[in-house]
Amino acid sequence: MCDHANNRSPITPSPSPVPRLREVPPLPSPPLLKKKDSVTGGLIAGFLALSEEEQKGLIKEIVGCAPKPVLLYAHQEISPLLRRDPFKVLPFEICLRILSHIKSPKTLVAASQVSKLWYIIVSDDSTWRKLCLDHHLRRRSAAESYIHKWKLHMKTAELIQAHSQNSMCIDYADDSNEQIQPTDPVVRGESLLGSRSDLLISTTEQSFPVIRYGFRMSSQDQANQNYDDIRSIMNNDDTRDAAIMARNVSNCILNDPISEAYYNPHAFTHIQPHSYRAHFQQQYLIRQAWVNGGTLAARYSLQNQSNTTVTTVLMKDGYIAVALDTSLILIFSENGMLIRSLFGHVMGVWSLAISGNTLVSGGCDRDVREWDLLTGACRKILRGHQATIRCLCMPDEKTAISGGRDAVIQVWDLEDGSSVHKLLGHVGPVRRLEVVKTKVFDSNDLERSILVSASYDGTAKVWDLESGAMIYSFEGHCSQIYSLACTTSRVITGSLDSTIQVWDLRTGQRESVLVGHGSLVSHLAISGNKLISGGANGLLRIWDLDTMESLHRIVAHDDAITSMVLNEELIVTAGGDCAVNIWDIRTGTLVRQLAKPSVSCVWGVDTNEDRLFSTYTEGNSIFMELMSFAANQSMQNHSLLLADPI
Amino acid sequence: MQETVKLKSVDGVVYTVDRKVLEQSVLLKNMMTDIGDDISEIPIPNVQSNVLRKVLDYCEHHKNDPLNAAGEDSSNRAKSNEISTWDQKYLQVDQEMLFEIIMTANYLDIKSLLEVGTRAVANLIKNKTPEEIRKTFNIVNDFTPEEEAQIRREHEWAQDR
Repeated sequence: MCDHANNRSPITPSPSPVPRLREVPPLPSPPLLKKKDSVTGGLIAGFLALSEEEQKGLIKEIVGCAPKPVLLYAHQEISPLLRRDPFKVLPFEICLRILSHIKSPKTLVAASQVSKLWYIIVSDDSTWRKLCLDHHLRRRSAAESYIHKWKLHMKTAELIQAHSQNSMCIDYADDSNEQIQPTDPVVRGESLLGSRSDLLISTTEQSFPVIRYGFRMSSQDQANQNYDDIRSIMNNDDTRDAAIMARNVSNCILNDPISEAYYNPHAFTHIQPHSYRAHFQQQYLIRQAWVNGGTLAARYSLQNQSNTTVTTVLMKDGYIAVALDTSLILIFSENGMLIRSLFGHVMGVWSLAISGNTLVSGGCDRDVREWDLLTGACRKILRGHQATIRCLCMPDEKTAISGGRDAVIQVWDLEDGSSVHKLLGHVGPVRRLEVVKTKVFDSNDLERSILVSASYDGTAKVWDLESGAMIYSFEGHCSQIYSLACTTSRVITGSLDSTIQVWDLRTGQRESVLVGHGSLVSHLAISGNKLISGGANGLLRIWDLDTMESLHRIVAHDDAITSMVLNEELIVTAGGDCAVNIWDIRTGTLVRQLAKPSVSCVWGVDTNEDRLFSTYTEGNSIFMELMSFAANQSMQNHSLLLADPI
Repeated sequence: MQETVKLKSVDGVVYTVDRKVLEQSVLLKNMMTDIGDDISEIPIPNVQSNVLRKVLDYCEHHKNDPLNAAGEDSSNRAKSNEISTWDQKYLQVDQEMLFEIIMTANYLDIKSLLEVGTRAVANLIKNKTPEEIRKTFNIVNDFTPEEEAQIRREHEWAQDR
């Protein structure tokens, strides 16, 4: 990186070093001056008396007859004088324009350390805004709404803490031999659940709550009392959500064989960025953490589960939900705190959907269950399917749509529990459902909700969600459809016949057939104009949806891809080869591999901006693990010099 | 319509230039359109003859380039982050001249020249340490050691890669 500088330096040794601090560079003082003051003085006076043209002529003559070492010396003296500070010479807007060509944060940071003037010019937020755009970072507004959720989380934590100091139901007694050290914000609870199933709340010096599973709340009544107490602390609506979340925590009843619980409430700390510069810094750190950092935010394990399958992993609306084929559903906060487990299904749970604080679940027992995630109550049991429920989706908090092995799609009204539509038409199990809001079907250019279903009968069908009428049936695959992705104008299907087919919602016609997977296409996702597909042979492909060309062909896993999710510019894949791989969508290159040799299967992963949740089997235990890539380094205040203008 | 227009620099040198060449400059193009045939000589204040000559060289070379209607940014940036070989050679001048060219391009509204000029300055900054940048532009470090340490701490986050 020093090459540039070296290339431009004079061939001879560098001129006298530039003074480091505040001093004005001394005027060049030729050795002559001291010896023969009078002679030199006279020469200079004579020189200054000449006109500009005459001066030029004289210098030309002197240069003509000067020996080479003198010329070199002159060059060395003159060349720095001809260099100019561009930011002093050029108008401000042109300075910003110059900075806009710089894509590297490292260079910008170096530039701001050059001088006070440079510091101030580089601090202009337009430069950082441009950098955010160039680096394809999420918009600040998006980041801010995200941070709102974090604030809510912190408020909850504070309330729990406040409550723990005021109330009687927190039991420290059984823990006398294992004091929580104030310096250790993380507490490990191991094999403590069994008959005890509550939580212990303590505080650290940093006044963060430490939450630990493993202690019995004396009764449900007390839990409710607990909730009422918390509610009485608060008198306004702003904190209501936090109170409800606090209630969740205090209500937590765990009858599951959770044998390890580790939760670090410090793993996610967000500071709201007030400038694009701070925003860039935060996003930069998150991105860097995805590449080579990250901390463990939470880990839980279930023992004696060697035959258990994790069927679904879902991170949405502030929750992480995990479903098992043993009928268990576990709910975590998106910061990794175990909130509750949901019991009710009598057979394996194979599908989940979340909208707001409502979760719907379905599986082998053919029932769709609606749960209130705030209380853990099962609000409704929706019956109607004749076979296993294989897919669910929730277009809003009041509607659930289920698809089953009985080839039927049911649209449920969650307010009264009624079946709004029973969509018949498929002749094989329904495997995927997606609701799309599109203007394609409305002559007044208004959005309408359509439902797209994909089935093992090899067809994908488009339904009008309001009337329940079938709009299209896309028939082209010669085998079962396993994967589905939709845009507002296209439906894309992936099939056991190893092709991906692209359908135009405007015409109802097939637009394109993408060939090249060579085996079952099990996963599809869309990012901008790119389509990402994953296959049962471990192949990952990236396609350009504008040209329908293949951009990247990646051998992602040695075995089938079991899970594939997108996060901004990253693709996260899990494979039967026990690895979780992170890929760059634009370049198609491997960013990182997370793998443990002792893991026997990674069941599923889900992500959002700065976290990665994964479930895997190791030995005879199932692990659920949340990694944090949050920018935990504290944001620096950049007002050092701006407060003191020069 | 006359095919040529006379431009007069601040130091009194007059250049006779094809209209087509001058159309690179949005300012001059508008001026010629507004005034029409009556133009005998356009004075260019603040621009020395040697700089004007240099800028006219650029316009001459690029006179057949399609004028990007959309304006500067999108098209140019999309095109490349590179500076063409001719432009590179053209911009091999001392910093004084480079900054004069940029300011003239800004004044005359010659978007592509402003773009390559500022890009050339950016290239002088890229991948350098603060000390290297100071040397490049003969800038005096006016931070106190405390300020310098503080700013370095502020920026530790970007040092890793």
